[in-house]
Amino acid sequence: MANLSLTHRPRFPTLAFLRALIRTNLRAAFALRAAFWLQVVLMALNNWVFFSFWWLLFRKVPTLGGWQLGDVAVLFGVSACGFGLGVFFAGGVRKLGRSIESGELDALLTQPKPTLLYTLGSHSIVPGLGDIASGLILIVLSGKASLSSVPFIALAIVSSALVYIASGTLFFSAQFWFRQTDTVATKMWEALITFSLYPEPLFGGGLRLLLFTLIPAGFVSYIPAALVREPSATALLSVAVGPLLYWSLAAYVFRRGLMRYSSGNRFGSFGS
Amino acid sequence: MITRFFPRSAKYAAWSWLSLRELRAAPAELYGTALFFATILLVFSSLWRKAAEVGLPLGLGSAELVWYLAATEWLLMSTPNVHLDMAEEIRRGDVAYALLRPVSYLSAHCARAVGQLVLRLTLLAPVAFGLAALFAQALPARPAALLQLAGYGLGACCMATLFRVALGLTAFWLHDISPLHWIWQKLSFVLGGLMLPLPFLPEALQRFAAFTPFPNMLYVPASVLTGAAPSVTRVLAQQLLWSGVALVTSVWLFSRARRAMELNGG
Amino acid sequence: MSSAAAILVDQLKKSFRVRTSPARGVRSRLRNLFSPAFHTQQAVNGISFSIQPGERVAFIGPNGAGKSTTLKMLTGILRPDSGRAEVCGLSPWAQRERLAYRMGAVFGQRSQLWYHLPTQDSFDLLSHVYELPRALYQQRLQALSNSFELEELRRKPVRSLSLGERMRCEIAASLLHAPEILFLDEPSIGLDASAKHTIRQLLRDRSSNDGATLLLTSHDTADIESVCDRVIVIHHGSVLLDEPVRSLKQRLNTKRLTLHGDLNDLSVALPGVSVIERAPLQLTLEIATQVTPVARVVEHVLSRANIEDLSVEDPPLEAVVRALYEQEKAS
Repeated sequence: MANLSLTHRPRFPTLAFLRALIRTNLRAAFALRAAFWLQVVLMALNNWVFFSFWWLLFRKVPTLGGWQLGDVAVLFGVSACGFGLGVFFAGGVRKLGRSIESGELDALLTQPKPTLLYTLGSHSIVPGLGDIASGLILIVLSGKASLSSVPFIALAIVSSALVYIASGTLFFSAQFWFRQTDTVATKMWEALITFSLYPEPLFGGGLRLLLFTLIPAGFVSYIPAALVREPSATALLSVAVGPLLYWSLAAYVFRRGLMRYSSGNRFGSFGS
Repeated sequence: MITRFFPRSAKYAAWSWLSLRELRAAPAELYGTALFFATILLVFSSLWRKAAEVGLPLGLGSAELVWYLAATEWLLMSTPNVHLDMAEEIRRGDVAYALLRPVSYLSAHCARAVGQLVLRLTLLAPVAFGLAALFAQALPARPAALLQLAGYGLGACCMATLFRVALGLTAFWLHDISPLHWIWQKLSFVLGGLMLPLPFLPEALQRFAAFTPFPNMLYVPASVLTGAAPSVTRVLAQQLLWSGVALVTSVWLFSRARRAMELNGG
Repeated sequence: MSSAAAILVDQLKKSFRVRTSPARGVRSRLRNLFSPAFHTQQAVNGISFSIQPGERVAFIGPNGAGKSTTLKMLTGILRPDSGRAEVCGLSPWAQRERLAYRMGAVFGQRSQLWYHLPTQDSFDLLSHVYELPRALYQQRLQALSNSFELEELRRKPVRSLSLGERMRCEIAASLLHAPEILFLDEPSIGLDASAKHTIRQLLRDRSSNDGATLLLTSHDTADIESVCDRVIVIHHGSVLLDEPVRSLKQRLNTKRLTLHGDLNDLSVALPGVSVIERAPLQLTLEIATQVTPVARVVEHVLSRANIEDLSVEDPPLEAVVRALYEQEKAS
């Protein structure tokens, strides 16, 4: 029997696939209902505990480098929302190193869809919803956003999420070349999150360079937060730079990584 | 249980030694911790320096606060996650096997945890304090305070470890102790003064914290670096008191668990 | 597909650079840290074969023989060092995505199904992966569901399925898009006897129905016997043997004679005859037919005991393969 007719294929098949992938991913996330809401709530609480540091500090110190509590709240909120959005829909990024090491990519490689998107969308980190919720509340309570900010908030969060996931892809793709880089990659990932939660004026020249290149906290929180606090054309453009830059890089690195993967010199995981 | 400890001290010493071997096998974790220290001390040294420009409260200097943070993080990160290990053991059902061994389950875990603790304190000290000196660009006003910190810190961490053992025992009843672990951890961050010395907290919260063991875990030992001078007797008394509470709780929980296992056959 | 080969493999070679473990001792360990030593492991050393559409071929060999590596090259996961391969006329590593639409793969130790979801959800996702038109997908799903008996299993989460049930679902999932070729890597590993039996039957029926070509690797020679018509034996990265299953079994020039009855401690002292299994009412003998013809043994036995039933069979493939490895080792 010949293969199924390849006519009558759905239009925009990749889009249909992505929609189906997201749907399946979300279903899997909701499937573990018992732990679901608990994780979400705890993550939100967790973020507020960390934010309480700023609340306590600003009670004693009026401003910090020109920043007030509301400014930090927006920064924190945008970073948390972006992070949550990213890992909720593309939680596979966190497992990328392990997937590469264990050969889990094989099953995806034998299927006719882009491997990177497939593996990113194959897992969802449920507490991400807690990050999104706590982030939104912080932005609302910051006093720096109004109803008219809503579209900017949305853009800022999406931009942040895209850079988070692209950066994660870059960090964890190191596994293609070096074994056991999971710890280092994880530390870089955590450093990214940490740096993104502290106001830009804190950091001196050298460090600031780092935060707009190797560990792009700048693109993950500062620039998107600036868009929310003071929307402008420049801010809009800047918010697009990060995702474009880092996604191009991530796609390139992953493709090269796959080529290396297919050379098989990660031998030792499964017998021949 | 305590009376059994001394004759069997050789056995328990072996458990402590085991932790050295374990640690040798996990250098990556140590490097990771060092990186973590570097990151946060970097961030906070910038933060405190900027804050000092507008005037820090409580007459503190930025360098002092950096050292303070290094100290609290040093203590926090050195305390082993014995509760998570125990919970994993219990979840896997390895406990039944462990209970068969002629070594008291609790004593073994305590001994092992203390061994790990001492090792981590020793290994992380140069990391934490070296980086603190680097980023604060100053040494503590009273270098002797570091010795005080070490002394109080050791006691504080032992106390914290005992609490974690008690926490780990709840795994006999709770399917997943991570929510409890989280709550405990966050309480110790806030009420223990991880990032900010306790006087930064609102009055009411400070008063409330005084009734919990948390201030003794991090704030009290680290506060010697910010000019506080708590009396030795007070510190030791508090640590002993709370350690006693933790110990009694652990023993009670353990006996309940034993009974439950015997009844249900594990 | 026309008369062109479904799979064509020509002198495939693949080696791996493997890090040499350092010797004991601090100095060699340190040296290894800064300048690691590598040695080359030749996994596949010039394999060639061709498989016609609709054939069912087994790929067997001991661990480390190169089976999985070859399979990975044919599915496009690995690139060879040299040599050529064509699957459905396409180069697996160069045209991986195009080929993926026309082939299916089942890895015994890895799952394509989403662990916490009902298998139905995984099937639905796959229908989008392979861009199956809705109506066609439903039709295909129903047909597979019937032959694999998945009606009940479909709604259960994968984590609650037994290994055998999961394997059935995996194979069904890989057939959703009616691939021309199905690759299976250790499909029956870890399964109990009845599950293995079910899987083998399903594979056989399905490939007859759809005309799909099967290439499977396995440690279990019984898999080969029930599912495949042809076997390729791999050893040390090269093809040791490539022939129909039937002729492989005849290679050893032995037959097995199983006797049932009141055997009275019967002993058969004939040359070339050895006892395989002995039980109170059953005796299995292996006869080297070049030395003593079967008829002679039967004659001998009938006159010395009350035989109620007897059967003469080819030896199991396992014995044949084992003998082959031994021959190879000896040579």
